[in-house]
Order: sequence, then structure tokens, then C-alpha cells
Amino acid sequence: MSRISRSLLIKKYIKPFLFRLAGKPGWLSPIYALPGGIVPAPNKQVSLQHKIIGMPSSQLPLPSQLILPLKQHQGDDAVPVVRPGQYVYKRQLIAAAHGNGSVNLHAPTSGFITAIDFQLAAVNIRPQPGRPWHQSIDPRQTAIVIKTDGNDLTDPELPLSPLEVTPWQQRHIDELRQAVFEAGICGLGGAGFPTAIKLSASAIKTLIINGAECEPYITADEALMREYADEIVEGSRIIQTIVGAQDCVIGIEEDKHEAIKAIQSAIAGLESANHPLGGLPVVKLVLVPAIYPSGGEKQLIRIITGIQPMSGQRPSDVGVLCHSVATARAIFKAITDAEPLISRVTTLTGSALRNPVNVEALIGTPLSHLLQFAGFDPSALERLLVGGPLMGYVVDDFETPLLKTSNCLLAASQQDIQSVKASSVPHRDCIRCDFCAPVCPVKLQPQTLYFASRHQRHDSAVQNGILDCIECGACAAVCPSQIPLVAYYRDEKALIHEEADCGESSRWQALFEKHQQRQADNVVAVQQRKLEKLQDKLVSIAEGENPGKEAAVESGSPVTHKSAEQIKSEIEAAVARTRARKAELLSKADINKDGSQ
Amino acid sequence: MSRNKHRISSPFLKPASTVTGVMATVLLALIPAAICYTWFFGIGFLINLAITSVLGLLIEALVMRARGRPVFFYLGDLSMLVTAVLLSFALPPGSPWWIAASGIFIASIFGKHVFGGLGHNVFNPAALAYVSLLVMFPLHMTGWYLPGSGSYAEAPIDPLSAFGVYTSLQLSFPFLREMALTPFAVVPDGFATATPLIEYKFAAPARILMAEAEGFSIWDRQARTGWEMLAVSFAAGGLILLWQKVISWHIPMTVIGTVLLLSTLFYQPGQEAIVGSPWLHLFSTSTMIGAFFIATDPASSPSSAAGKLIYGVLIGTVMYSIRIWGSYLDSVALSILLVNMCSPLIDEWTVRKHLGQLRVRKKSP
Repeated sequence: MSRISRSLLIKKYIKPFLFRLAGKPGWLSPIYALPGGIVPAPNKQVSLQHKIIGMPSSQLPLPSQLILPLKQHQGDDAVPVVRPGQYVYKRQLIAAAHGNGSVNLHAPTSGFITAIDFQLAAVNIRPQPGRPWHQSIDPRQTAIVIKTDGNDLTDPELPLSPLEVTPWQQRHIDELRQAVFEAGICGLGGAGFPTAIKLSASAIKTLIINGAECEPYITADEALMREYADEIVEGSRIIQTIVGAQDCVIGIEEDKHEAIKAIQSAIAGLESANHPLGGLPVVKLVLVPAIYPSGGEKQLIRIITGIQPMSGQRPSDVGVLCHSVATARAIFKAITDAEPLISRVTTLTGSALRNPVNVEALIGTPLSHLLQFAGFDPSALERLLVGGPLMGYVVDDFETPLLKTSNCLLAASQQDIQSVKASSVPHRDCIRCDFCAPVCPVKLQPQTLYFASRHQRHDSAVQNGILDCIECGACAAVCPSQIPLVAYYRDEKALIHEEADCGESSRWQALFEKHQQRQADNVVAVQQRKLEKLQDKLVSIAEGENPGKEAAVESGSPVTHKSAEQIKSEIEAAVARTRARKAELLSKADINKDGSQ
Repeated sequence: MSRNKHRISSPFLKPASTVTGVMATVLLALIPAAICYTWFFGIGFLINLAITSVLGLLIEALVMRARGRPVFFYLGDLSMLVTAVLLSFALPPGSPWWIAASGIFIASIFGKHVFGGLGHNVFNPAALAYVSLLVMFPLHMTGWYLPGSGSYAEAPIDPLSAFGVYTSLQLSFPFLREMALTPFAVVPDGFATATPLIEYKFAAPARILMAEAEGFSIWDRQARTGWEMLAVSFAAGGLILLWQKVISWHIPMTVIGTVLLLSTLFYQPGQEAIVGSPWLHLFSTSTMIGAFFIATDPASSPSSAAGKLIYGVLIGTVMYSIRIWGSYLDSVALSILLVNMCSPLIDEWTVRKHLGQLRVRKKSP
């Protein structure tokens, strides 16, 4: 009854076992079965008919303007280093990394900066886990807009990078890492985590290059592996050298036959070449079952190594690092050509496009430009998605730019996705059919999470592991009641984080109140001491001494001329003032106390 | 919380299954049993089915209206029809119409909507309605009216002949009997088994042993053959559900396995009339409909795999215990209702540990 097959026994266990027995290449090392998963219709062939089309080329010209948001990654915004009206060359740095987890941004082509403080209403940042989808569309996204001049000029005075002169094998690791940082590379698989930070991890045992592109429709990585296998393998070696990993594994889904062949021959070429670093272990190819979501970072790590990072741990904490093939190639280009990340391979697909194809487009290209190139048919469009149908997000404004993390542009018609009309029907109640639990790749109990989220029982949600949910959408895809489970989880996660923030702020509030209280107490104590001093003086005057004598001699003030009576009355007045002040402060402090309670 | 606000979130795929589709599959899986039941026992079943379906949909529509929900949207999930069919299987064919009517009323209101509708029910609505009817109308629910077998065995009436159909109608609608030219007296036959849910031990042991000695043929419309064929067709329907992955294997296999195990353990040759043979426990009783169709009701059963195994074993044990050591008429529906009550607790016990979950730190010695 279902288009999404849920029976995965053969794919997961029997086939890998038999192929391993038979000694098929790629199946030689044991793989560990991922719990759950679904097999949606792949729909990948349509966009693999042609080779990757570059930009600018005769087929795909430059767009008239490029829009480059300052935040296309996880972390702080980059800071612009150009001003409006300035001419920038291709590859020129236009925004520098600043703060935590920030990455550089470069001009993808030459042209004039027309605006920087551009209130870009339509830029969609990929939804972050823990942020509800409606919050992830940030209305005030600052972007740099470049009006292209069509010449695609590089700065003629740009000196050759030392890396272009010396091969990377002879450079120092820190230098390589710095080059990756300067190239402004972030994870191209979708999460956008700054790559330089990942590369600074220590004690990495296994490096995994993720070529398991499991989501339907997306073929950007597959096309890349077909055509640039050498660069990917070389890039993997660079990463391996930087992090000092013992093993380097490229994991590819078993159904990408051409990509597998290309990678295999690239690895063979690397082995036969007389390599300067011949001592390094070779890159290994591992095939994984084509099950969604085996391309998730932690999922692929589990399949290949059997290691499961604990909740809240990064893979690098358990000695594993995972990069996508697109990142590996970007690193290769950054190291060997000193080319910053200014373009990426993106799949243009969906039934509303006449010519689905993979393009290597400049970052910042408006989506409308790419859609037009691929033969966009607006009448057939149901929704424009960035990313695949399972984890992508909706784009309403076609002038939204292509981001570093946009791996697919799915102009979906009714054939591809559920129609807008059908999805605006309210969902049915959960019938507790338990279709969802067997497909969860994290072995969660989606029903329990749904009820906890729906009724906002935060403790129950956290206890049942909502923070470990990867939002893959497998549960929602098989739900017969069509409950948008992922949306519920995102909302619940946002509320949980909000509550945690509130906890933090109430702690600060308490600290502040304590501080205020201490200050008030201090002032009262000071007045008390003053009072005691004055009374001591009074007593001494009464005893007939002249307290102000020494001070009067030093300062030469007319106090000495005052009579003892005068001094006494002045002191009494001061005592009265101080008493009144003290009483006032005390009552204030009481009010404060009451108020704080 | 608005039910509508989330709809532009991923995933965007077309739904792989719908509640309507699931319920329709269950209905399809019940077709073999429905044909079998009608073939052996006449159209009394179909009359009951018509009454429960029409009335059930009507009640559902009224309740949805009263709860301020879209009526046709909720009628479209077909769950009411599944309840109606299951309840009709549990009613004696030929019982008066008001038995079926009150049964479906109980199933819909007290079985489902007092808990909040589909998915929130604690008990299986059909089983609850059946047990309630059994308590309220014990004579009507255990009597056997249709003169096709039982004490009419000497002069059997073919239940599907014109006379059989007419008699069935008269039985269901008593006013027809009064209008008839040749009214006949209704003699409830307390010996024969009345519905698949009534147990073998209340059938006349001697007659059944006699039937066993004679051997049975599939096309012979004897009550015993009918029950066995019905159980087989329920099992076939259950296999359809398993194949379509509407239900998982855990509950039916553990229920059947437990009953088989217990009945084999306690089996004493020569004492069939008292403890029954394993075959009898599985195929001459209503174990099959219980295991495949009633116990697997998703809303009232535990959700985790481990929980389902516990649930199935409990049902099988309680079922066998009521049959052999209990004195109540029915075992399947009662045991399922009893264990339904435990399923939230079973769920609580059997929460599976998800990947990456931090282990509870043990206190260092």
C-alpha cells in the first residue's frame, strides 16, 4: 500500500552479508545496520542526464546581480570589508570572519557593490535544529549585493599564493588549515558548519567522506563524484593529512553505480601514482545500503564504524570526522588553486522544470535566474523547495539567492510532493498505529514525542530524547494520519530552548537582586558606622576634650574658633541627619526585599 | 494549538499511507470471513452488518457535529465501519435488530467518544460493546435462532435458500413475524454456539464429539465446520494484514503461540470435552478474530515491540484461563478488555532506549 517501502531486512542485512561473502569490491569491510529508515522513490535519474554546467558559460550566463547574505553558515555573521560603490574583483574578500564560528565571504565575480545594509526579506537560512521553521526565516538578513560587470575579472595584482607554487604535500599543516579558513568554506552538505573548526579537531582516528546522498531528487554530490572524482579523492587526502586520521573512508550509497566506478578508478590512480606521501594509507571505498537517512552525519558514522556518539557529543569527540564530498572538493580547490568558495554544484530538478540538470552556480545567484535556465514552468509549480522533499524548506520569493548550503532546488509540481491544497487540510488524530517507531533512525518513539510536544510536556519530551531527533522526517512520511510530526518537534525544541534561556535569565535576575540587596545593606552599614563615630565624638566633647584640634591645625579651618557648644550642636544635628538617612535607607531596603520576594 | 499551522514544514512527500487506506485494508481483510459467515449461517450477519454500519455512521456524524468537528472528514476514516463489521461478527445472526443497534451505540459512544475519539480509546470498541451486550442481554446473545443447524439438525433449512433468508429477516425484525401468514415460534437453542465469541464448552459436548466422529466436510453446513472455516478465514485475513504491514506480527503470534502452548501443556487425551484439544482452542473458537483483528487495535494496544509481546502473552494466558478455569461465557473479548487496561502501564515499562541516550550513571562504590 505504500510507496515508501518499510521492509529493509534484505537491504540492510542480507545483501551486505552475501556481497561480503562473495568478496565484491566496496563490501569488504563490515557495515553496521542503521535502525529504521525508509526507501522513498529516488527520482534521481532526471537530473543526471547531462554533465554539470558551469557558470559563467555560454549556456548559463552571469546573473545581473548577486546577493550574498553575511550568514550562510552556523555561527556569527561575517563583517563586510567593502563599501557600497566599490569595485570588487572575483575572489576578493568582501566580508571577513568575525567572532564565533564565522566564515569569510568572497566576491564570486567582478562588479560593483550596490548595497550592503540590504534588508533582504526573503533570505531563508536553512532551519536550524531547535528553531521553529517560522523563526528560521530571518526577516532582517543583511547581505552584500554585487552588480556584475560581466567580465568575471580576477585581481591582476593578486600575488600568487604560496600554495600554488609549492605542492600541498610539502606545506605545513597549519598553513593548510589557515588556507581552508581563508577560503570561507563551510559544510556544503547542508548544515553549514565552518569547516576550519572541524579541521582543528584532534585525535581523529577515522575520516569519513560522505557520498551517501540519500534524499530523493538531490544528485549534486553524485554528479560531482562522477565528474570530479580525482579532486574529491585528493581533497580527502588533504583533510586526512590535516587532521592526521589513520583511516579515510569514502561512503557511497550502493545504487550510485557510475559514481562508484569513478571513485574506484580515482583511488586506483592515486595508488599507482608515485605519491610523495606514499607512506599514507590509501583511501578506502565503502558502499552503504541506499536507505534514507543513511547520509546523515551520525547515521553514516554509525553504519561505517559502528560508533554512536552519545547525546550532545560531536562526532569528533569520539574520534570520527565526517565531511561531504562537496566539502572535500572545495578544500581541494582552496588548497591547490587558492580558490575560495565562490560556487557550488546544485541540482535543479522537479517536474516544474523542463530541463532538470546539475549546475555549478555562483553563490548568491538569484534562484529565478537558475530556474529560468532550467526551463521553469510557473503554472505547474506547487512549491519551490531548497533541499529535498524530506528535509528541505519552502521558498516563496524567487529572488532569494543560492547559499553555500543549498544543494538542491526542487521546483516541485503535484507529481513530486503533496499539493498545497491537500496539505492545508488539518491532520487527523494519532491512531497509535506505530508505523513511525520502526522507521526512526535514532530509535525514538515518535508517538510519545508527539503527545509530549503537542501538550508541551517539556520534561517528558526531553526524557524521551526529543533533543536527539535529527528531524529526518521519516516518521512524518509514513504517518497515516499525516501529522506534521517534525513541525511539532521543532516547536517543542524551540520552547525547550526558550525555557532553558528563561532559566538562565532568572538566575541572573536572582544574582542581580542579591547584588542590590548587598549594596543597600552596605549603605546602611556605612551610615551606622558614621553614627557610631559621631556619637563617640559627642561623648568625647562632653568629656571636655577638643576633638577637632588636630584636624583644625592641619587644615587651618575656622573650626578651631568655634566654641565647644557650637561643635556639640553641629554634631547633634549631624547625628539627627544620619539617623534619618539610616531609617530612610532601612525602610527602602525593606521595600526592596518585599519587592524582590 | 491550531491544527493547521504546521503545514509548511518538511517533509513534503506525498503521504505513504492514510488512515482511510489502513481501515480499508482491514475491511478488505475481513471480506473472506464475511463470505464464510454468510455461507454457513445465512444473511443474519448481513442484516446485522447493515444495521450497525448505517446506525454507526449516523451516531458518528451526530457526535462529530456535537463536538464541533468536520463531519465528513471524520466519517471518511472508515474506522466506524471497521467497528461495525467486527461487532456484527460477534452478534448472533438472527438476533433482533435492537441488539445490533444498542451494540453499535455502546461501541461508538462508550467505546470511543467518551475517551476523545479514534486513537484515544482505552478499550477496543467492538469488544466493549460485545461484552456489554452479553451482560445486558445474556439470553439473546447466547441463543441460536436460525434453524439451519443445532437442534434443527434433523430438519435443516438451507440458510441461503429463499425460506432461510425470509426466516432470517423475520428473526431480525420481529414485526415481520407478526405480519406473516404462518407465524412460527422462536425457540432459542441454548446448546448450540451462537457467535464465534461464545465458547465451545457451552456447546453440547456429545453432539460435537459425534460430529467429530463423522468427520466434517467443508461444504457441509454444520455449525462446527462453519466455525472452523470461519476461523481459517479470519486467519487468512490476518495474513493479509501482516502482508500489507497494517499490523505487526508481535501481537497475533504471541496470542496464538500462548494459547497453543497452554492448550498443549494441559491437553489430556480423552478429556476433549473439558479442556479441549489445541486444534479446538485455535480453530473452533474465536481465537483467530481476537488475535488478528481485535487485540491488534492500535489505539488500545501498547506501541513498542517489547510491549506488544508482553501484551500478547498476557491476552493468551488470560484467554486460556477464563476458558478452562473461569466460569464466564466469553474469554476472548474479556481477556482483551482486561489486558487493554494494562497497556498504558506496559508502554511505560517498555520504553526503548534511543541511540546516543546517556546511560544512567551508577553510583560509584
